Amino acid sequence: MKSKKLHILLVEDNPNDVIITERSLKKGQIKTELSVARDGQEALDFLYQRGHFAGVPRPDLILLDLNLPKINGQEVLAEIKQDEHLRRIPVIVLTVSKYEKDMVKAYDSGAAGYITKPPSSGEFLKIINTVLDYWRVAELPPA
Amino acid sequence: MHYEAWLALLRKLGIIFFFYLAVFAVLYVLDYRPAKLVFALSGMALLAGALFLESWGGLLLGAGSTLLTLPFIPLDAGFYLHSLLPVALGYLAVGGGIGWANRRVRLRRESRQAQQHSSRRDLYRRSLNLVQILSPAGEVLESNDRAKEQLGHPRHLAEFVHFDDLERLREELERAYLHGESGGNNLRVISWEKQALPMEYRIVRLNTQRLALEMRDISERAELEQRLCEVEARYRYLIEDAIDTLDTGIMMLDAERQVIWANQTIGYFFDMDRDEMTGLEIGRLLRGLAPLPDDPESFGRITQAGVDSFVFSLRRGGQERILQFRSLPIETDRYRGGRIDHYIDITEIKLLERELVEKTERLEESNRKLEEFSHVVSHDLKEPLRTIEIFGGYLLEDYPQALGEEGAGYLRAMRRSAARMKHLIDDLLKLSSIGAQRDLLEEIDLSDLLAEVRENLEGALAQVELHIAPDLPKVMANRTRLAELFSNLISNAIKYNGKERKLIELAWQREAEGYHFSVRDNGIGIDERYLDKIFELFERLEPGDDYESTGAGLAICKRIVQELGGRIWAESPAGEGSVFHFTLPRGSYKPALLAQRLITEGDRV
Repeated sequence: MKSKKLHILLVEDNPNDVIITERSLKKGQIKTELSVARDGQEALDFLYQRGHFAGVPRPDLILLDLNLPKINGQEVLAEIKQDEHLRRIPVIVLTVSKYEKDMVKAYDSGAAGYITKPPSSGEFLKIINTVLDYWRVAELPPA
Repeated sequence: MHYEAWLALLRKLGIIFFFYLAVFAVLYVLDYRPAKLVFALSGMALLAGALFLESWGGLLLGAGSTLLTLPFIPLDAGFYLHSLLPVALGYLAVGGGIGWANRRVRLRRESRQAQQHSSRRDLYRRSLNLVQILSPAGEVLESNDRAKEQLGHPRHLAEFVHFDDLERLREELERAYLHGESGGNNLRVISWEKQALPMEYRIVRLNTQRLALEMRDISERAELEQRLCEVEARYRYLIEDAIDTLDTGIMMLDAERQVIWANQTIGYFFDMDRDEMTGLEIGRLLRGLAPLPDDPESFGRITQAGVDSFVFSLRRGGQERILQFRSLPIETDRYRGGRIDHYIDITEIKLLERELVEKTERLEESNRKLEEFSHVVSHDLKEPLRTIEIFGGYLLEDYPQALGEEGAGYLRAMRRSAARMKHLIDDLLKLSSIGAQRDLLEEIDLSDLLAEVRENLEGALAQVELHIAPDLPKVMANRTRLAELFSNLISNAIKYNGKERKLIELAWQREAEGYHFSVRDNGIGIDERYLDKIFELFERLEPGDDYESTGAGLAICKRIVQELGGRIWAESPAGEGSVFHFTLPRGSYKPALLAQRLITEGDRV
């Protein structure tokens, strides 16, 4: 299981932040496959496998920036949590905002965790291990 | 019973007895008994004598006539002795008594009448009023002393009554003659000194020949009345003038809510001549004027008495005036009814109020925009800096060989600058946010707050002796800001101190304007020339290699203190470090300061 590549969807409009995230994952020696969506609309298209995202696999983890063009992160999160198939995918919220109310709002909407940017490799490592554990349990056949 | 009442009773008994005997006399005539008839008749004669002649002669007449009956009565001597004689004597006694009583009653009555007559006459003669007895034709028959004294001895009315009043008096005389009495005022008579005197008079008919004319000199009273009128007029003018020049419209209403009087201001407010208003019912008056509150309830409140105040607007000459109405019922111990209405023009105040509300709204709007702007700045301005810092870090980490020692140095300088700029932006945001948002004020126990500050500064305080005065007061302030103030001052005191044994002392005292705090250190001190400058933004006296020091710290302190209504200043006794002073007002945040803040912010925005 551990050798399985973790498929991550990064929803982030800032190319610099995409680079930072990629580097942190690389530094943490974490074997992942990273897909990037540049706005909320694209993220939803990817998740629903619409348009040119037809046939892409569902991600194991979503890293979601809250501050997005078109459809903002909060709305994307709400949409994900409404869908029967998508709601099981853990969502980690990524943002520079340090306002407590944003954090609380994210948790209330169903986010599994919260990372302030720029994320460090250590933080990623922790989260990825947690998510792997989560999937291991989730994929066990019912006893 | 009174003596005289006894007398009167006795007299009545005598009369009754007379008629009693008269009845007997009639009976004896019918049943002819001459002796008894004579006896009865003689008794009657006796009583009549006693009652009407009131003399012993009458009595004797009665007694004699009794004796005269004797020859007609053929009886023996025993009868005379035993019956007739005692009866005759009884007659005598009764008749005498009655006669005497009757006389006494008459005499008394007469003396009383005489007395009354003479005192009446006296009264008439000596009265303070002028009294004349006139014939129906107007001839003067008699005058009393007073009349003689003032008018002399006229023989006819025409001699002393003012020519213009003569006809009137004649009519009155005639009326008195017909109806018994008449009278009037302001009859002008001419005294024998040829002086006209106003008189009040009354005429009473005494009998068909005589009329009494009584006059009273009212010249003094007339003079008093005249003076009273003058005084009243003077004060009325004074008061009316005073009330007329007021800015307040004042109106007096009677119990029927009709206008009795209104001052000029009312006329101005209602655009109406005030004389036109007099007598108008207030409801009708107000209804006749421009738009009034439509709802009957509030209109009712205007037209009813009460001390309520009420605001309504009135269009006057195309311009809306807002009047405040207040009514005071007139109620004294003796009188109750009517009211005094006040109308105050509060248009200007209302306009100002409206303007203030608008201005406040605009301020709030601009504050909100400012906050939005700050948020955008903090996010968008800092973002690129963050990227520079992070990617610079990556370069240093990932490509140390390629950069070389020199390149790494340049890169570090770049990163330092980026970091410093980030701090600058943070401080600027902080500075602009003080007071811009509605800071939450609470009561803060400074002893608790300083304990927190000390805890937060723990690392920096490692080699510092920080003395904090005990029993610090409680103040109204925003907790975060106040902590920042103390923390900044203490950090500064540590930062600009090269000594091995660093001393910082926080003291306070109560003063008239509030609390006075001071933070004293034994550091490098401040040149006198810069004591004011240090509170300006980004002013640093020491060349800082320490990039965290932006120079905004003291500017922030100044803002915080000013926001709370205090002031801050520094002093630096030569060679003895520096002292930072600041004051905080006692009690709550003054509303005046809030207004001032709004104004200064308005200017700034």
